Amino acid sequence: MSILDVVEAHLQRLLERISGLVAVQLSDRDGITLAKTAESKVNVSKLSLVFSNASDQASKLGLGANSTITTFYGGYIIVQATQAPLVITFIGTEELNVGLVKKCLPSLRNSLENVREKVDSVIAATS
Amino acid sequence: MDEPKAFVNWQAVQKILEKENTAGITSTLLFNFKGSLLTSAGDVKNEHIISALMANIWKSYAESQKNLNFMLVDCEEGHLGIAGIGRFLICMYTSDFKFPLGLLKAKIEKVVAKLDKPLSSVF
Repeated sequence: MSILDVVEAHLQRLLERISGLVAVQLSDRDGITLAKTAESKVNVSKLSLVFSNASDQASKLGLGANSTITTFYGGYIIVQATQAPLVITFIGTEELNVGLVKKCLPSLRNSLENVREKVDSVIAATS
Repeated sequence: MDEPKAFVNWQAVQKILEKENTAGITSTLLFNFKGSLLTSAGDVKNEHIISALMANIWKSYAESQKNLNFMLVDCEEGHLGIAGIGRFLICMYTSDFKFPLGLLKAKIEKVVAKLDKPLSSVF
């Protein structure tokens, strides 16, 4: 099993644990998908790119570095978290337990540390 | 249909914002979609920078997905919530990292409910 298979399995377990959660996707700052649980109607690649820029700007608000941005739309909720250079996107219904999503983030970030280092080294090698 | 009203009693709007700036809330800002600050309440330091940045962030998300109605931004040293009212954006933030996010959202929604009718009529 590759690292990304393990990550996908972890993301799938989150779907079962968190009520209202419909899909989870891991991508890089440019919106390229690395792992996901299921297809969703939301264009996550585009949103990951939006989040990368928004997070950089939000870190200049004077409240310290940005960690998550949660957006509430008519009918669904999106929680995005940064683990530079990775972006984790959670998509849920209106009933999504946002608090539980944020509670899961530290352990998810720990499990993604290997992936983050590999992506970081690829970016460093190509730049 | 009612004629849209061009004038808003900004002093009254300011009083509503000050009333909601209770313990734990650092500041409340009201600005337009271009980031120009209209009025604010609380301990404001970089309010023009915050309004400009948040208007830009809101615009980016609103253009990528339809029906955006609320946003929560979590940072290391505080939280910020933002919602739309007519042609404006209301933003409330706290420098207290432990301030409950649900309470922040509820306070903003309360301000939106109070100001929605008068501000939605502004053209």
